[in-house]
Amino acid sequence: MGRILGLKSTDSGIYLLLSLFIVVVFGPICALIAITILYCTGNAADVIALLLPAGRRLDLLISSVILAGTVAVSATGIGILAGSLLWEIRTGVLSRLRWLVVVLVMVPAFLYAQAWITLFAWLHVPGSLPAGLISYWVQLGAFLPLGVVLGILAMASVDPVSIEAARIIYPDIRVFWRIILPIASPALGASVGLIFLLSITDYSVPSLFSLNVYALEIFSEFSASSEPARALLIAVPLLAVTMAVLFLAQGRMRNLMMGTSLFQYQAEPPVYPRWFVALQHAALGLLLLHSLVLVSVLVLQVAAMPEPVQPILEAGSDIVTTFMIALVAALCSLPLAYSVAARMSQPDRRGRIWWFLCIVQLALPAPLVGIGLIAVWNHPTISGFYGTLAMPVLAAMARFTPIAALIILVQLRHCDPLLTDAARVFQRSRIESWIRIRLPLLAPGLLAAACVTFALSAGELGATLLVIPPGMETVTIRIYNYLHYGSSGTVAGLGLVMMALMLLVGGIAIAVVRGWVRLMWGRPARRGGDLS
Amino acid sequence: MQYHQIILAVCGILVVALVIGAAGLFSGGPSGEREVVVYTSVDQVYAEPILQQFEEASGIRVRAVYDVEATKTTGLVNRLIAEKNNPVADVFWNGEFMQMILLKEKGVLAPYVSPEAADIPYPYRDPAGYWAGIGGRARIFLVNTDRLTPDRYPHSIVDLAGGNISGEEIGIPYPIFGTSATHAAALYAVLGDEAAKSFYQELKDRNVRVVDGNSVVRDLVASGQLSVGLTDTDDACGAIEKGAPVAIIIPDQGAGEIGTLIIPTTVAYIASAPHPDEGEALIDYLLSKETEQQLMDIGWIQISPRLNGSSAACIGTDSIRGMAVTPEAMYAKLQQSKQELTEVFVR
Repeated sequence: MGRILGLKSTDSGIYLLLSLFIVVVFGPICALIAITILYCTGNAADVIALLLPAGRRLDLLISSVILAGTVAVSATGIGILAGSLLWEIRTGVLSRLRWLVVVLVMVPAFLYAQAWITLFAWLHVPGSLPAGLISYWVQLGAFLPLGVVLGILAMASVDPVSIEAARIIYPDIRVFWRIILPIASPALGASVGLIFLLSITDYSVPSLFSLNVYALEIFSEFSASSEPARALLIAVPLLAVTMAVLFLAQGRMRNLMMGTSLFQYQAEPPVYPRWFVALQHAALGLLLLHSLVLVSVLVLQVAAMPEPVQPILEAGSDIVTTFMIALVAALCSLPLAYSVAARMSQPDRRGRIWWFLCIVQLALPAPLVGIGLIAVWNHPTISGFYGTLAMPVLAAMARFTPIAALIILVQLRHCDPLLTDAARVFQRSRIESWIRIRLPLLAPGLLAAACVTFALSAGELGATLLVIPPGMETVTIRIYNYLHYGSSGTVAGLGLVMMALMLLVGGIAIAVVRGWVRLMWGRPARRGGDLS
Repeated sequence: MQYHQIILAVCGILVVALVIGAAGLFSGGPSGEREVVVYTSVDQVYAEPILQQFEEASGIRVRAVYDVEATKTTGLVNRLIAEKNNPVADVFWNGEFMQMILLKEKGVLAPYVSPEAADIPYPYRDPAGYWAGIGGRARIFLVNTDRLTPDRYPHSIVDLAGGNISGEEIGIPYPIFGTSATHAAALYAVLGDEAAKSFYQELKDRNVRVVDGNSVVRDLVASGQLSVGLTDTDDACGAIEKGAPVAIIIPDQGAGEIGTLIIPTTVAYIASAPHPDEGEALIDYLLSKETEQQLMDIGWIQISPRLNGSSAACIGTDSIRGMAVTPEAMYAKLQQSKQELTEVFVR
């Protein structure tokens, strides 16, 4: 097994981390597979019908793929337009404010849905608008910040020397189409893949607008039969589609250029034609519109409450619980994600095996992860562990460590191997070279992975609900409870609390990255822009 | 061993320590303290004050897990089934009754005949004592009084499929989730498979609005976007209390008609519960007349199934005739009705 996965006997540290990764991340799915095999032996006739979508289920799968694909392509396209504009902002307050978009990435999609539903009600927008169109609009708003951030990263992945060289011969707009976009295409491919994954597995936004999607079909089956095996079998086509898309994105990501990062100098500002600048501003305007609706509707709803602070005070312990679960999950997932990212970066069959294993986990429906966790951890012999705060932490790690691994992998591919080789030659001690060279090079990726894991863990519902200790609750569970009986003011207040949490964590992460960069390398070159 | 391998090993040990630390942060109450664990799909805003009062009255600490609508209130049922071999919960307090039959079938429940359930008639409690129901909700029509004159009000469930109100004016929740699914199963049991499926197909053919839940139906009727909606009494009473131009019509109350579905709130004892005495104490408290009245006062339930039970003021009458169908008969039709109606309604 160790040989298949690319391990050597001297890799004892990485062995330990990978063993933990396998237990935490693959434990639940292994338990589910065991449950499914048992089910299949007694119900062989059902298996083919569940595995192969036909008729209505096939239509549902196709329409879900179309919705997720449209959202992913538009969010990425608009993201690169807005991202290219934000990337050009070099100085002043705006250059700092642009990083607020990172905070918006962490806002759960259902809060956007809640804001738009409220706005539609205020404006008396007819309820007969096509559900597919509204779901697309809200999901686009929810995933657009991610598209913009990945658009900025895509711009950062382009070597400015290539741009400068091309600008000598071609006009800037041609450089954008012929040089920047092709070089940035790996990052854009990754963006399409990630947003597609988030969209196709999300049933909360479509169901709020009465739109049926395949992810809801899995839930319906689970609801009707209470058989996790049946739900897993129905989920297989969705897993297959998601894996196909992510493998395509992976192919792009594996070709990411080496030696580029956010901290290098940029090319001189480009001069684009007016129509293109208008498109860039329209894309940024769309991002601002969704953000403005989100924040203003939530604030107005809270302001309209007679005692706006009371529900937040009542949720005090839930806020602490959410923060702790998300923080511990983010911290614990990092070493495990690093160990797997290091394996995935190997350009051989073993690297691809780790890719495959991680991607399978990403597309697994959340309640099934929860059921798998119960099957693994709820035994009398380890009863001191089950029913504690460790379980929601494990649920979050099981679901989101693979995403952290993908983010760290991108960072690993950005690290210039010449730097680490040079450090190896000139090092006084290995541990010092690891701390002073290797870790700082990885720091942005590690922090980004920690932030994303924190945000996703704080917003997790499906698996957390199944393993949350009795007597405890997360803010997300409380928000969903209040959503049901129409306490929109309380939902808005708690939504703002969630955003404040994200702002806090995102702000700290950005400050740490900037501080670290300055500590290690001094102020970045001012020829172009930087994180400041 | 290389230095970076040592660092990675230390990281691994730190991960384990952090997770165990998280476990240590919450591992139950102080030793010796009496406690009871309850899983509940009753809305948190209604359940929380009742459980707090039980804590104050009994001195037993309550640790609750609440379900959410987003999981279509099946999250906790599936959790109970998954935890069957090593249960954490002592009591399941459920907003409806069909899942109790599933849990009984799966061996998750144990019988407990509470003295407080003595005046609760069948079919609102299990003959073997596996669960008992207190007050509940009923399926009713909510009509918008600005859009409909009383002579156009529907009186029977079949009026939705062929009455004088156009399909675009009528709203129902998806009959495959929650109480709407239970209602569909009840209609299958009472009307017969073919008649019930034809009824729903007729609704589909008439372009009746099918929406995400009872509360959405309520909002659409209250805002005047629909004339009539099929929903639960709790949602309907909420709209009346807010002063919306709506009225409640209880369907099929005439002679020879089928009656309406009454959905009790149910309580059950979990097999091999870790805190048996405390579990029984909580069940007694939840099934008491006082708790039932309190739940009616705060708006969770509107109808009492007890002998000489009352109804909430918003209903307008104390005598509501329920459907003459057993929970077991409804449960037997649940899977079939969900499958058939999924094919009819889910695009």
